[in-house]
Amino acid sequence: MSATSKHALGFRVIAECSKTKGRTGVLSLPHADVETPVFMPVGTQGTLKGLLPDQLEKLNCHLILGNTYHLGMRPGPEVLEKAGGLHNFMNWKKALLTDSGGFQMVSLLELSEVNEEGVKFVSPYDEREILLSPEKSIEIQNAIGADIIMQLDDVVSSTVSGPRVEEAMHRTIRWLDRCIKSHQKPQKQNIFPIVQGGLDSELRKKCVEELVKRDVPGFAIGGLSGGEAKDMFWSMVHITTDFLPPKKPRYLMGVGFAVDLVVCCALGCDMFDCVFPTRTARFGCALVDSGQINLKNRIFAEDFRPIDEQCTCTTCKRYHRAYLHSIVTKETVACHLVTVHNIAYQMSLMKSIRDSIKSDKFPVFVQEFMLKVYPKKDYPKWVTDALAAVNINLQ
Amino acid sequence: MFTFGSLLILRRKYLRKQLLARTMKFSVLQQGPDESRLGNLSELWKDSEKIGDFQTPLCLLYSRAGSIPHLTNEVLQYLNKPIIPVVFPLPSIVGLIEPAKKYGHGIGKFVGLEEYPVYISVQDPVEPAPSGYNDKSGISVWSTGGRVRLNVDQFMAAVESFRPAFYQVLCDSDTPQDSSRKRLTHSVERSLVHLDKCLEKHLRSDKLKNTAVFGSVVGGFSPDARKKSAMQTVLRPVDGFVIDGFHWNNSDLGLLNTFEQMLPILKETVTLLPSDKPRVLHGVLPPDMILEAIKCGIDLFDASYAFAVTERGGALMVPVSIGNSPGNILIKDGLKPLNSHFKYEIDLKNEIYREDFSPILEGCACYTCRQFSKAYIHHLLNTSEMLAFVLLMLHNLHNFLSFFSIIRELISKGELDKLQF
Repeated sequence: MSATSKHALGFRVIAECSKTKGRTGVLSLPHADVETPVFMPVGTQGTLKGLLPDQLEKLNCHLILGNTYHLGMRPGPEVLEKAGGLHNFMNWKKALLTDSGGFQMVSLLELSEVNEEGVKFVSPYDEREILLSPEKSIEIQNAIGADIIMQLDDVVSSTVSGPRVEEAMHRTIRWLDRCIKSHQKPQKQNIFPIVQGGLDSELRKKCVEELVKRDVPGFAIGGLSGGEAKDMFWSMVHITTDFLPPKKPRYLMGVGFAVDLVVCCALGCDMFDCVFPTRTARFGCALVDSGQINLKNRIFAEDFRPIDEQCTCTTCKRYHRAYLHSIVTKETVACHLVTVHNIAYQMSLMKSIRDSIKSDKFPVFVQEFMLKVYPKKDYPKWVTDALAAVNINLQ
Repeated sequence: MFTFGSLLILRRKYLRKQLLARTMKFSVLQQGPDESRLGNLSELWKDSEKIGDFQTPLCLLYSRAGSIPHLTNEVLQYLNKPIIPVVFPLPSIVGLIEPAKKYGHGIGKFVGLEEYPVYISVQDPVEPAPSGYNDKSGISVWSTGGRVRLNVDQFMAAVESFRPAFYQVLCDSDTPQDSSRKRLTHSVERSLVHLDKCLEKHLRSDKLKNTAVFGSVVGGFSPDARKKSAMQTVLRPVDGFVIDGFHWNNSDLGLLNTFEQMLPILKETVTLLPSDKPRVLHGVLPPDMILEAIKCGIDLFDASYAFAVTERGGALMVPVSIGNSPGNILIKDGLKPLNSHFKYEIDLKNEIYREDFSPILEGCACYTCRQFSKAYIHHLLNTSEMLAFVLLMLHNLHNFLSFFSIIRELISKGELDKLQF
């Protein structure tokens, strides 16, 4: 284990790709050893959209995400504290990660106001004015008790530019210090700082330089995947991973499309989260290598094949598209079935990535994968560029 | 309309069918108090394999749109109960007739429940069927897509493509309590015509040669109409009976008001039926009504009650063990009503469960009670999370099915009278 013993986290890189920045390793957390690169499904309110915790474990999913904003509202930190933390409350024995709550403030609430103190907002449940300060965020996250917690950051939309971006970057660093200071359980919970700096490579670099001065167990890359142009997205990820220390895990927030995952693994990221696979499942969309299929489509009404013939999930082993077609968006069972498949898809994609890095065949895997997604080789420019930057030629 | 001659022809034809039949067997193992009985249902056919035995009184699993509500096959296995036949209400699967026909392996396999014997009921015990849409040629069922009319040919084609182990024959059971005599007469006579036509098709069908047929005894709340329906139906070579037409396909409380008036009619009707064939009563029936119906001689029910309780965020608290083991209510003391309307459940949406970290029912062996607290389920309901209904369904089904186990155990010990509500 390379991390200092005062953190409740170990990170061991097992293999590195000889061509790209991709690597595979083991992240040792209080509740689980997690193989990286890892995709973390999002269980917003202390449950992963209709699935039993046991089903998730059977899907080899050992690290899921909870949202501090939602959990802080309902059931609230007092209940979670009394329950002995979210692990006990929801009966989840493996590892958890919580965000800081800041992102939901900015994305969900119109009435939020950010100042040096924190984020002020009006509760949608009882209309009280609430201040989410760095200290408050950590207090709630301490009550939740996740293995990895996030600092409160000053979130600026990735489409905003100018002095606000720089202000947010500096404030994020000041807030990190307040978060670290108020963190009550550093021996049980690992706090990750968040690299900000918008789409400005100088600001990103400056931010990383400041963050690495603090003794932190890992890093998150924030402020991306929010609607910015894809060439900006990948080049920011590329620059940031160049600056980050190689021995600590890197968590790229809000990324979960298969193509993005493959590219960003090549760029050296280790952890990802996204609501997409579970959200799209609720609309009847199932993930396959060529993208996704919408099971509501009439063409599936008499299609007696499973979603994916290669897939070994409990849904594909038993159910066919015709039945799913008849119940998607109507019955909760359909949600559960497609959610199981979509998580299985994400888990299997990440395993393929890890396995190919271990056998140093990752570049070939990337080429084959992209060919499955784009059989006509009409690769988006950003994908070609990003992969070329780490020595993979798609043409 | 039923001349002696035509009946003779029917009987001759049917006699042959009964000799050839390889379908379902039923025997009464033990008589309990009143008309209650412990029975054994066996040789339910699923494709070419026999399934059984199932002891009665039995609660069949309730499905809608082909699934046990909220439970995928994977999660259904957490119920940890042996395989039980599943009721597929026709209205909820009427849209699957064509795809199931093309599929060709029956509705059970089509919906991922291939291990479970399939039983098709004509109406859905939970969904109200609007009155006034049946006529001479057939009946209406109400699916999510609206009204679907079915005549005998269409109905039998559906049964052939679904390939159930047993099914309720097409019947006109649209007889609300205020039905006119004319309506009751139509209900009885048309149901018999449907039955004869269905039987004729059934006997000629190679696909249905292992499938058992249940005739419907209809006639609403009229003892005379019931009597006529029962006496005519028993003359046909049916393998069992569904006592239908109390017009209570509904999950609300309206049902409770008509139950008292229904009971003597049910009792009277069942005495007209042969004792060696199983009798079905559908409906969202709470435990005390189930017990009363069992005492009238009913053998098979459905689990729609557990579903209805789940849908309103309720958790069942029916005592499920005999004696004074920890956490269980003594059966001989009966159950104190938990509130005036819903005697057997607690409302987990209630704020009082916010910090209640104990299981729903202390000592309950179900997966939900072994793993999760009331506070957690309260939170899931409060945040409209789907897992709430998964966990409640697992508990409620477990609790309701265990209640039936207790009843069977008490009958076999000759102690059913001890169970009082």
